[in-house]
Amino acid sequence: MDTVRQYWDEFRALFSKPRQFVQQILNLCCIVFSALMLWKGLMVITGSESPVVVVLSGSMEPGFYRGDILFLNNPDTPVLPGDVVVFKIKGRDIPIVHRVLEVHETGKGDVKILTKGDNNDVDDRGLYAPGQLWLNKSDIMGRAIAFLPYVGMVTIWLNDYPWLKFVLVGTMGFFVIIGRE
Amino acid sequence: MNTMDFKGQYRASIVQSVLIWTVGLVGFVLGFVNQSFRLTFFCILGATVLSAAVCLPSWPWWNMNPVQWQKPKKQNSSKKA
Amino acid sequence: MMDVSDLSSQTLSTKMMETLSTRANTLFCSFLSCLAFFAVLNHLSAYVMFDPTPRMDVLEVEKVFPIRNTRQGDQAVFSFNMEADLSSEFHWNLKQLFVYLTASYVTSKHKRNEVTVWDKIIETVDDSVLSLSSEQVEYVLKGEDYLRDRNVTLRLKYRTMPIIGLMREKVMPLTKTFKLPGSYDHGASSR
Repeated sequence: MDTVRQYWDEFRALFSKPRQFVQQILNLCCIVFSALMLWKGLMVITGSESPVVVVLSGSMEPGFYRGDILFLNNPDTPVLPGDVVVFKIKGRDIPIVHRVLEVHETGKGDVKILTKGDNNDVDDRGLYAPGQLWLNKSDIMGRAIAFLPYVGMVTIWLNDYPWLKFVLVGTMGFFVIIGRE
Repeated sequence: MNTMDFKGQYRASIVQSVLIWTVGLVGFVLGFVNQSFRLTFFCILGATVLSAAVCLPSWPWWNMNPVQWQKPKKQNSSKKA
Repeated sequence: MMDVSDLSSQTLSTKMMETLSTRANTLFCSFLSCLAFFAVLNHLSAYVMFDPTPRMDVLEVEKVFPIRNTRQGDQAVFSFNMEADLSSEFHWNLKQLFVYLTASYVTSKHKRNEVTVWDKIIETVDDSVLSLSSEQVEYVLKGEDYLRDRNVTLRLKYRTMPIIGLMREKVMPLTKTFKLPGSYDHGASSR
């Protein structure tokens, strides 16, 4: 508890030095903005609106577990069965990671896609919006090309316990502002 | 007695890095030969746990060069107004 | 009488002495970076030094069942024989193989159709020798299109799913094309 006291004293001491305080705030902004730039840069390079996703459900086990991370890209090449795609159902915010089962393409460029989770017994028609039988290419946010295990568990914890987010960001910001590494 | 001296801290950090990375390398080679990354993972984990046991607490061997504090100067009249 | 040790606990412990939390932090960072380094090395070693030679010996259509014409469209079912050996794909970075048989065909409504008719997850080397006979397709060929007289090409494909790193798609060169029956099955009930 002694150390917490010290940190708090340092924080209070900052208010007496306004120039240093502003400097540290700017420091914090720099870090935040470079992280943002990195994210946006990745979006441009991969062409996907969400170049990194965390697997949220167990419907792709044993290949992907909850908390794994997938790197996506979104090339113009045709979608093929077997691709692992991430899509959103209209009206729902949660991205779903499943595998393409069927692809039907008309001559005019309409592509109809049916997906299924590896661990599910049936295809995803039950998940789609009422009346929706197929996915379009525009529903698909990206195709998975690389994989990183476990690292995404942090995002899941942050989601399940939202107060953790505040604690984490708060303490990180606090430490940057008082100038400690 | 719950401190490490400066030399001890330096040594502890070296031991920690050397231990983890050497065992990591050995674990990598072993894992490659056996075609099992699990082996590598557990080697590294084991090295970390060992490191934690040896380097984190303030064992006496980290305090072999304790800081020599100067003796406090005697004050002639301690309670002058 | 002021003790020097009071001063020390203030300045020294904030700026110079490491605390237990700092040491634990460094330890955790070493662990993570070492693990990450060797995991990437693992992936690279499998990528670079590894030359798999998967084999496929047999792919035949055993029996094509008559096409049924239901209210939702035509449905075609068939069974196939297959022999393949994918065991050389296994290395220490591989977590599983997702193997699937696709059927591709052209219809009047859709110029490109490709559906998965059978899939399997292979997790160990022992399971990777596939020897199937009279295996019925898991997923029926169905759709709003007319499937009579269509040529269907079967291909075996699989995805390598690693412990860490890139996933690859591979196609086996042996394919099989067959023709669906030209008339409906009049014996089955079609509503």
